[in-house]
Amino acid sequence: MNNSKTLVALTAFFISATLGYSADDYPLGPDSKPQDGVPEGGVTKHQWNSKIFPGTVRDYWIYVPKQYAADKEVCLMVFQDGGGYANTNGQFRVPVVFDNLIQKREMPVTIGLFINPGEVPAAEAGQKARSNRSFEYDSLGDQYSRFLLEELLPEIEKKYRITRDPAGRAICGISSGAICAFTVAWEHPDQFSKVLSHVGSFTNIRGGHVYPALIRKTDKKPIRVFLQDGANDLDNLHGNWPLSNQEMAAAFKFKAYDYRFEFGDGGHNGKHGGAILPEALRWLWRDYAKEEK
Amino acid sequence: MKTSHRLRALGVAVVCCLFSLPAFAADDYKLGPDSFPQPGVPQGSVTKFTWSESKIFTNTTRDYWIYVPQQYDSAKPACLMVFQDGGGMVRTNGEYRVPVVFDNLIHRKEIPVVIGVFINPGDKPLDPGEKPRVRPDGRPAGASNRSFEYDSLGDRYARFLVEEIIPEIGKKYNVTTDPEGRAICGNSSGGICAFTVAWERPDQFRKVVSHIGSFTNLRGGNAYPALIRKTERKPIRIFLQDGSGDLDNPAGNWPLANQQMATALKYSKYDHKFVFGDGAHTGKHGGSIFPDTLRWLWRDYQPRGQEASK
Repeated sequence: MNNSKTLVALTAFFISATLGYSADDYPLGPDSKPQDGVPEGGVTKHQWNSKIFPGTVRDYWIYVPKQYAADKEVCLMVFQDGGGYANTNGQFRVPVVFDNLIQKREMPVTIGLFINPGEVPAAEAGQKARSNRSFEYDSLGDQYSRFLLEELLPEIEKKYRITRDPAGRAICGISSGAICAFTVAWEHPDQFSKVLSHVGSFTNIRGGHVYPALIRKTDKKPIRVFLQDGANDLDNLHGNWPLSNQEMAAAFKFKAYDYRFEFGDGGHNGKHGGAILPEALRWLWRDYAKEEK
Repeated sequence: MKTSHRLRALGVAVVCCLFSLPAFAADDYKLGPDSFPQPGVPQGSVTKFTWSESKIFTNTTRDYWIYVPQQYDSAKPACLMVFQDGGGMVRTNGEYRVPVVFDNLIHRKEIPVVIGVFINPGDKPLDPGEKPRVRPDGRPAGASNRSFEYDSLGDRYARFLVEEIIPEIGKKYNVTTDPEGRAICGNSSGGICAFTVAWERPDQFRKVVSHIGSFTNLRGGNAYPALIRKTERKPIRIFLQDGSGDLDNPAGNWPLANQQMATALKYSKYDHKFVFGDGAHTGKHGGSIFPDTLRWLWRDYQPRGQEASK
């Protein structure tokens, strides 16, 4: 940056500070809103009873873009805490963003799979259902990836033709859902090679704080990772989220991973991640859309 | 004022701010007067010993040094401060010059009368007729047992101090048994070693100084921030120093690991202080602030049994 640009940037910073800039102030852009002339994909809701997580039931949603043609294999992107990501009034509005980016060919034709964490239904009237979320998302190991690969994907593949190319399969999540997404790719880079993590819980909820050390001392895996976090993310019994995400990024850098780290000033929510979701998707799929078979 | 004028004025102000900052180079830390001999300040004595009888680290030999201040009085228990990589810390022309700093601060009563014990890591004894070992580039080889002794978690090094070295010191000197009167300090792997001793034996050591501490995955020490958050608080006072230019290697990122330590200590409400500068993996920053570090560490020390008389 030359001096005059630096000056302008600094000046802009001071002015925004003067005018009352507030932290975590991330508005959605046009790619997150329905645009005229852009075909809308369809979203359908389903339910699943798992054997790998015995006794659990969960909702999931399938987004199919208008451009989907049954004679062509398409890409796949899986979202944890799917109900939130699929919500078109929420912080991410993934179906809308997909509609816009697929139409502009800034990402390939992609089926979205939005999965909620499992619940063990109440055994008796008056009791509450038990959430299986932390067990499924925060645990290290391959149980959740087996749930995807052995249960849900075969179910989706009954109806849709999905690519087997791991470069055409992405996985995304927020908070514990984000460490879950990373764990899936870490355990199965042969199946998923693109990860999008929002305010990821790479902390000691169930041992996930070990990842930076593992990444440094394990042969590099063919995974592309987009990490987002903010300076005002959590600090609690399990760890410090901003530092843990910085440690993840530093480990990726050390091992020369294909990664990008966006560190803002947000809290433990999806505002920043949602605002930059179109950009994150463009980055994640940047060379796939072009190479599309 | 029009917006464009206001912008220009603001720009000028910003430029003035930038240029009025002092010229500053990274890792530019100097020693202050407390790290140099001062006229009229009595000098303690430093004696060198060798310890080859370790039963806890078998088949090792090591040098250690004992600093005894002039003010030491065998009728009164003295405090104790143990240094890892002692040979470097005890040098009076090195980065720390601990005996000189001790002389100055004890004389001014800014720290109590402290006996310093400076211990080198263990090395495999030379076989009869074996020449001193060297690195490929010809420099003397490092102590072969250092990483095992310093980077390992657990109580082994603490037992080495408590069961072997401190009893040996106790044969000659009257050293307090009060853990508040016992501090431990180290650099790098010696820094995590110092923390591990107090973590394992807060009944023996309650004051820790870590310079550029290796709270990284050399041998699992990256676990400490998580352990500190999920373990009941221990009665330990900790001073941590690190710099943004510290190491990043297969074992981890030192600046982030030290920040993780500091935030964990803060979360669990430890009595701690974290000084984060722009230095590298050296003792320059730690050495330059060492007199302040010692003042902070010993700030409220009262010998046992003297609280009431005050």
